[in-house]
Amino acid sequence: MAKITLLISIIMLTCIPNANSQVTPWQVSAEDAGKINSIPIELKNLGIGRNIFTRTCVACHGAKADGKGLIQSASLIDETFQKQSDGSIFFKINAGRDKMPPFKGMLKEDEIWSVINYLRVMVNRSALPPAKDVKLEVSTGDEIKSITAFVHSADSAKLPFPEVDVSFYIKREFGLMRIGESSNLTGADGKVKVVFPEKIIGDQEGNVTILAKVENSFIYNDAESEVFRKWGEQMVTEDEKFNQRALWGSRDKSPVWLLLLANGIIVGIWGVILYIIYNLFRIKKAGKIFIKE
Amino acid sequence: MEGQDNSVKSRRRFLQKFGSLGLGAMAVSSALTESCSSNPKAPGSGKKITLLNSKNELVEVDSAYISTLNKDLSPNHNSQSRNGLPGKKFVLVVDLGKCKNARKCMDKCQAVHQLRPDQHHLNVLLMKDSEHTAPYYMPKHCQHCDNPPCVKVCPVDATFKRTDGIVLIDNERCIGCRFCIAACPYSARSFNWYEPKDAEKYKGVAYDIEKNVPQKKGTVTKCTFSADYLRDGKLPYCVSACPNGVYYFGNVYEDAVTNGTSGETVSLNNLLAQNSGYRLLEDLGTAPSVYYLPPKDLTLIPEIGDTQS
Amino acid sequence: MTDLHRKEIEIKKEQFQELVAELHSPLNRTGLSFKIWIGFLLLLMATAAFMYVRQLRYGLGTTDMRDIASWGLYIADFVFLIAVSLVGSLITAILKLSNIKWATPLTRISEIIAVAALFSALLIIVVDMGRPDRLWHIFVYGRLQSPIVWDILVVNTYLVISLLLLYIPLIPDIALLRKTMGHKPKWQQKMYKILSLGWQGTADQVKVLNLSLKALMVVIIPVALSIHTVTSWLFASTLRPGWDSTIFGPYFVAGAFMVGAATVIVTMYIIREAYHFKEYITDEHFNLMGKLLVLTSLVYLYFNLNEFMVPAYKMKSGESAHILGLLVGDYSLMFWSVQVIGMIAPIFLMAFKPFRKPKPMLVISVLIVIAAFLKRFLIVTPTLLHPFLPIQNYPESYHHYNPTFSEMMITVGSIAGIALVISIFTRLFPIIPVSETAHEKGFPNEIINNS
Repeated sequence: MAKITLLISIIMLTCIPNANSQVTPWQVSAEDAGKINSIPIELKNLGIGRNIFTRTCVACHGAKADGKGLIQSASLIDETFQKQSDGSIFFKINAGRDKMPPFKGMLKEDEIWSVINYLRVMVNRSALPPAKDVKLEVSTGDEIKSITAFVHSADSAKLPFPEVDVSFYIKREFGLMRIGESSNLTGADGKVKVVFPEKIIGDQEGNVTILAKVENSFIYNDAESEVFRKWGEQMVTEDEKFNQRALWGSRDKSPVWLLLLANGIIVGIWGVILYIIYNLFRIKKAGKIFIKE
Repeated sequence: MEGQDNSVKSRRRFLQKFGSLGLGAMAVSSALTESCSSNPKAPGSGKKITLLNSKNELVEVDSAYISTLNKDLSPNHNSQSRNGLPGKKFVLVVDLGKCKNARKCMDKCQAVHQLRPDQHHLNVLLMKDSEHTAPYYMPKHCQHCDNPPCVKVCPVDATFKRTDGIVLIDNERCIGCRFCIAACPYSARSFNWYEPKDAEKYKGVAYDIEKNVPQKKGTVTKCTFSADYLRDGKLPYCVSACPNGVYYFGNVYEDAVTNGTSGETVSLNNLLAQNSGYRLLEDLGTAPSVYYLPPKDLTLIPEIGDTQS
Repeated sequence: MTDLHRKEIEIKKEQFQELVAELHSPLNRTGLSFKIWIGFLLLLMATAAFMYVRQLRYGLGTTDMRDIASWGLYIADFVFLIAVSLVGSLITAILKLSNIKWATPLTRISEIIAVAALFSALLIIVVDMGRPDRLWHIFVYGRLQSPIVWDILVVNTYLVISLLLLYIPLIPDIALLRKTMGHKPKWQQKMYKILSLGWQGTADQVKVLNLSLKALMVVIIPVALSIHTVTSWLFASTLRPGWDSTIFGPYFVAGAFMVGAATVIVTMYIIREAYHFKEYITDEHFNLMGKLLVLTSLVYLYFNLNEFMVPAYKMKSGESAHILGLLVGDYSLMFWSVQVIGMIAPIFLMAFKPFRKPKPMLVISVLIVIAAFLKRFLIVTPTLLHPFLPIQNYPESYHHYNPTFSEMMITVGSIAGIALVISIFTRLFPIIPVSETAHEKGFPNEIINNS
């Protein structure tokens, strides 16, 4: 009991300094704070910002950027944060501190500015114009395995939308694996085509589910469409490997040599033992016959 | 409330109809414990509901404490748990360059698996391989070896290897000989030296072999790769608890792993090839299912302090 | 038949009865000291039982074993007891098969030590289990791939063979007891009656008995070697530094022969003093057992050299932390004490005849037995405390293993149990084989069977 109490107190002690370390203010030089954001707040740039935010910031700062992610972190939507200049935020993202990793080298400057723009918009959503509904149609070319997405208006007119970023994915066990380029913009006809990559493993027949998505855009609402094609390599499973007789197998899967060896020894030794026990009966019998005689 | 009264009666009738020890009763009692444990200080609503628990006793419970479990407890899946999920072989990739010793994975793991603070299914170690190499943090799970030394030595089939690669332990079979602990070169197993933590709270909860909860005194416990979650297609507890994107988890057969933090899915082979992935103590021939990416570009260099290597 | 011949037979008969009376004398003793001794042993066992009940109630946490040092004193004790039990085969089978006659008075002592140690070993291994209530799982779900299952098979086989090897030479002696122990309580006489199997010493009976004995002595040797080899595989079948060794089997067997011989010397000294058997257990016996002990110790020394010298020369990573811990680290004091006091010094001392007298032999043997126990501890514990990966995020105490009082008392209880079994045995059966001794002294069959 004493051990446990001691342990708990050690753990608590080690936790306290971590909690306090956030308190000291984070100084940014005037020069850094004055740096000008090179990316204008435009609807199409905001999508990029949202993408990066989802990928890199949500884990700690939470989907709402309120600091309630997987760990307790700074809120990015409260007044203290938002009243900083773009330059100050840029500096902090670049440099990092304590648990906040430095993103210098991990993100391009433009990308950081885009995230900052997105954070500004987050607290001021109503200022944005409403997004349009779109429909997404997917067709495939079978000669060269390729997928074409056609983005058009949701009404019957089917007006093609150009310059829409479509993401293509393949469904995997725990998530979606991205294929195509990092940005696949539709052409004037509202269409964009990506080539299905090689060495993609499907199910045991080679079937794969391909997804096309319009997502994280501020101009258009999310839309998605999927196709099911036998384009992948056939999945090779090794279930047999784990059902073979092996030393790590279950009790009914012990190796044959082991069974033979063990049972051979048991039969041999116990044969002798049983023979000796039988001899004891012989001794007893011999004694009885002797008395009779 | 009249309606409520009726529903209670009908519930009772249902329970009685299906026998006092029916699975329904078990589900209710575990619902009670779970809801109580997750929300111990919730204010009561003042409305009492009478329920039949697994011990065939009628108990009064505040209605605020009742929540329905979304998990189907009725046909307990323990009988299938030894076979593994077909067409899958799970793999974990740990990116050492990203680990900052946040220990969210450890905390989550200990909370979920009813572990004391000194029991580890998962242990984040501070490593320093040699004098001049840099220190780094290394989360260490059970390696779910394909040539598992621990499974080899188990005398009663308590610990076993599934076709999906997972090594589990059945704590209703385990005799507590601890041979598996001695045999494991990764020190990945733990033993219940005392009555497990919160034993009272877990009383009456049906045993889930894929979660190894409730724990039992005198038995061995180990990382399950969160087999209970995998059955539902969810990422393991530790993988999705990591704030730093350390963990990738997936199915080897489809050559894809998903990052638990960003949700990004990448090719396993590419990930390992591009980052020189390796396995722990490869020369022992245990053939682990856990891969490590070397600690490159560390953003936080750990200081070697009280924990010695 | 001539008068002379008849007279000779009469004299022989008288001499034989004298011999029987002397060898049966322990059975007729009624001293208080024996009762105190038994009471003392029972007290130790009761303490052990109490500690065990406590362990059942609170879990194995009452020991100092934890996730790192997950095996401890109990397993060391188990290995020690298995080692001690090996002696039965050494003295009885190996010496007898090689026609060495002087060991006859020691055969029963060594067999009863073997049987008692085996019972104790089986108990201590149950004590070490986290769930003794599930012991039956081994028989219902037993998995042939596990060295534990091999060990259980082989230990039980050895127990049966040892019991037979104890019992079969005892049959003629029990037949004698039936005749001489008429004054004993009913149950005891009944027991003798059943166990004597109606032994008359007829040619048929003698033939079958000798045949059985021969077969037993042959079969016990591979089984005896395998119990200790398989026990060593409990360790050698893992990958851990310090256990991952190919010579563990013969290393353990050599060590077992050594501690077994030492245990016999201690026991025969006590029996000789307690029951005044100086005529039967002579100084020469100590001399010869001393030589045997030197031989087994030298073999063991050779294996020790291999086991520690070779890895110490290479200092392979993983192995080096373990080996340095033993040679110069935490366990160096214990390690060198055990090696020097329990092996090297005795070999030197026993090379000189004055040290092969009973009293010096007792001291040397006691030291060897204690050192042998600690050696088993050194085989089990330091390896576990040096795993491949660092021991972190555990309380400080996990880095060490210091057996608790409870563990120690249970271990002491297991040793007390052996002493108890042997002590009671000497009061129920002749500890020195009567008919065999008579045969060797040249008494004819008719006298042995018909007086």
